[in-house]
Amino acid sequence: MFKRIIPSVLLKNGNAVKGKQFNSWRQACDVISYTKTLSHKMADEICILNLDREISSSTISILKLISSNISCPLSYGGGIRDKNDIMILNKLSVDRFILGSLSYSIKNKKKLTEIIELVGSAALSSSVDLYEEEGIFYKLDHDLNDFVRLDIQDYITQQIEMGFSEVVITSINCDGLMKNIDKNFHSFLSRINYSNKIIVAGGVGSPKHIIEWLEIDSVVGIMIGSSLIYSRFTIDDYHKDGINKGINLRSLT
Amino acid sequence: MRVSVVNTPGGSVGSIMSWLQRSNLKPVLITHASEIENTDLLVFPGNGTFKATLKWLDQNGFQEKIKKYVLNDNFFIGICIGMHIFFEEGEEGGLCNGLKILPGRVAKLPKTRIGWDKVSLENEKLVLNSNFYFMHSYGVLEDNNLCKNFIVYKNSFLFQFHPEKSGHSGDNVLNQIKKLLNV
Repeated sequence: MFKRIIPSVLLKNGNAVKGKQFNSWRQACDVISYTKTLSHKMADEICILNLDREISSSTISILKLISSNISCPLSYGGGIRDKNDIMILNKLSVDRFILGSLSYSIKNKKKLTEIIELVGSAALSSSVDLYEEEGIFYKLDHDLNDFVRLDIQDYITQQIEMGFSEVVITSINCDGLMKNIDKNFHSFLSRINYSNKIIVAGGVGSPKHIIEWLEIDSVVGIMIGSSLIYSRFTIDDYHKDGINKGINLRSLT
Repeated sequence: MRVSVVNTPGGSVGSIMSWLQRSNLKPVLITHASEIENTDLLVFPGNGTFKATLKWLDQNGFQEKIKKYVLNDNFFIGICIGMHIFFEEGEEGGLCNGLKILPGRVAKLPKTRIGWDKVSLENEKLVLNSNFYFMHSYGVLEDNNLCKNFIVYKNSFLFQFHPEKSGHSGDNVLNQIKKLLNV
């Protein structure tokens, strides 16, 4: 299997936005035409992350428009609470479901089992937003709206054992700065005993940034947000550069 | 031409409908087995677990209808779980019987497969030679321990990958099947 480069789009109040370190949100692009272009340019997958964390009628309308204009895999995260939400998203052509709050607690195991029975575990990823300070990692708990200290290596192992096929890890420190993903991630990514399970995100600014992450055995993909909107680099540049450096990526030409 | 898509509870019907519509087909969603009558192309979407899907098929009278439809040489596209149901039995969700059209067991794979992979097939009915999108943790292993990526059986086209999510490669698959249907 090829490793993946996944363009991501953040939605807030129905608009595509970008921010820095999970703050200073500003309107970024027309989400429908942007995702249509990404699909046309053969993106491996497109990820929509809904910051409002609610599957509202406007979320449904936007997803309907996005999915009717693309022919590549679509993943979605934000506000998925139970299997009914998954059924709604399924009808909207969402292929992969990214669970945040629902994945945090063992208390939600019953809901998770119901979701796995409905769509299968291959369609499920969990997501964790990490803040790093002095080498210590804190998870942003979106329900508590607070940071919680955690052993990230244990946390990832637990998520995979709960049935998630992949874990998305986003660096809050580096988000939107386009200066590369948090180098401190190296401390745990290379010690994870699972191959191709982790998607890293938050901070990619140029093709040269992706190599060191995709070379890691546990890393299967990398999410790119701001760089594809604000820099001169295209999705094809990322793939070409990665292939030239020996990364197992799909050729888009 | 009547194109019917089985509306399974966990099935990725949205993607399937878009894929068929992109090729100028006019698919209808069906939830009752009687609606298979007069279908020229029956499509079974991916996503879902083996046991839950077979149970749903049984409850809605689909099992025998699909079997009869396939064995009578009608056109069928099965994607992921839509391919798995053809086999004798499957492990996903607990061991359970399949439609038993093909021999073999759908088993948990050593590694979940998510992403793109190269697929090559040269058959009198279908030629594939490009990258396709996969997303599965169960499958049918061949003697060489590799997972079956596709099967052409009578006029059934069974794919482990998701042509509906594979861009131009997937559209090309559908165009070849349309030609066989003289559409």
